[in-house]
Amino acid sequence: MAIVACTWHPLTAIENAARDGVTYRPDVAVVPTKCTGVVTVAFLLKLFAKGLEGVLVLGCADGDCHYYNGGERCKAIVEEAREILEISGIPKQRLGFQQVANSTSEEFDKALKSYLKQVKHLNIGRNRVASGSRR
Amino acid sequence: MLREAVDKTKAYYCLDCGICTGSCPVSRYDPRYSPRLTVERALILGEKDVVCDPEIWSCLTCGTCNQRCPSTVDYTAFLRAARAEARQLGETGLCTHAEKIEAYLELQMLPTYRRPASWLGRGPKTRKRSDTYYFPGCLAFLGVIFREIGFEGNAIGRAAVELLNHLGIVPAIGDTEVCCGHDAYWTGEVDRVRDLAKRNVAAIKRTGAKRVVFSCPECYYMFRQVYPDLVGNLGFEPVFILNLLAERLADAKAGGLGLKTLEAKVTYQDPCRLAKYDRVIAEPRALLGAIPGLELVEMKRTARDALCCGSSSWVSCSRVNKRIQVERLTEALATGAGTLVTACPKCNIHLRCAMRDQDVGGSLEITDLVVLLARSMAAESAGG
Repeated sequence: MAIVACTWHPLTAIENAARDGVTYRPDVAVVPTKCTGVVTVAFLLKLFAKGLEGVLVLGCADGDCHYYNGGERCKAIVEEAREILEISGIPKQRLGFQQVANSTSEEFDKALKSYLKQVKHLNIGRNRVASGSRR
Repeated sequence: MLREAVDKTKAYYCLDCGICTGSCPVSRYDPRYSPRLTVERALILGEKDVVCDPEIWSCLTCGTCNQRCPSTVDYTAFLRAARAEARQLGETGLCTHAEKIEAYLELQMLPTYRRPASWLGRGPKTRKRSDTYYFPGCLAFLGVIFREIGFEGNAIGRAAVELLNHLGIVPAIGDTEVCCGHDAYWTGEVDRVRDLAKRNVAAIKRTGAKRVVFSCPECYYMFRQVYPDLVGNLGFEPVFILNLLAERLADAKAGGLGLKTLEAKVTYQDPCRLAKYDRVIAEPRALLGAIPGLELVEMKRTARDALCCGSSSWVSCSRVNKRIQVERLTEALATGAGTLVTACPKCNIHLRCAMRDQDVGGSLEITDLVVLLARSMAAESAGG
């Protein structure tokens, strides 16, 4: 699975998690983005088309965007991508969106755990969804 | 090779008269694009000159040039070959709508691809196996990405199935059918179209259908005119829903369609695939005429001379395309109609978009003919 993380709070939180020795599943690729407000629907869909089973988008909290309203914008983008996944036979829970309030490792841990709980029944990583390129 | 396309489309018959360029809606606003010059350059300067020209992606493939060419050159087929050639060299048009359409196509190629039947809602009756198959195309997807401009894809699909139910037909609906490949075909991706065609034909054959009903002119065009060349005999008959309805309307014994009063003044936009490629011109007009209380006022240019909705195949949406759309909407407004009826989801989307963000000096409701017919059938007979 992949985590698409904004380079402000979320990516710093992931880096802090690494520094603090927080462990998480090994099959996660972190994709940094300048702001989750500029992630496109097509980009998220193409991650699934390449064969990924889960994608978690990590944005900053509402009103906490370094630019203007990245987190709020991302909600609409993720919502549209989810609807398209749904009509393509991919459960929409596979695409998660969480907002982190600050750059602490606990915030990242909380966000990832909450996403993994939401997709627990989908067995991410245990079944091969597609023959597309995999990490 | 483009040489082959020149032979096949009889491009060498070109008399250099320029009727194509004079008729071309794109050339009117974009003087850099000229069908006549494109053909001439291919004949004189060789294929490389044409294939690498970014202007070949400006063509709407509306077919007005084909209609009017005195030498019957099939210009759009020639252009399609040039695009296929350009693809081989790595050239493409500009992908519109932030590549969402491309991404959806990639999702459809996954082995897990399934479209849940829930998109159609509860009302319309469908079956797993039936003599008739309803092919909705990408209505569900378009409904999602164009919701912001008020386009309801699912409503068109629902109306189409309701109309079929009304005729006593309970169609089969599949969950593994994919895109018809119309846009890939016109942008030169021949291999991809063959792949899509095989998957669609296999999905339809599984339901045991003898005929396939379409509500999108582009899907109908692909199944009727392109698929037989790609995958051989289909084993079923492609039927456009308006033809089926018009047939029933003309059949007095069957009791017509039971259309009820709908007070409105409407005008009709002929979709290019329907009017220029498949010659479905009289049927939509007969159906509109059959709705009591409805007045049809024609635009200045109609049927085979109708102006295209201004964009196609999801390539190139520029200032030029917007100006074509504004020109068409102005023409529609001049009729005094309050509703613009069309039979193609793409016309619906493109004209809606222009209606929303361009200044056209008025407002029109834009709707699909099947939606209008379903509304008329469901209307209360007392007063409408």
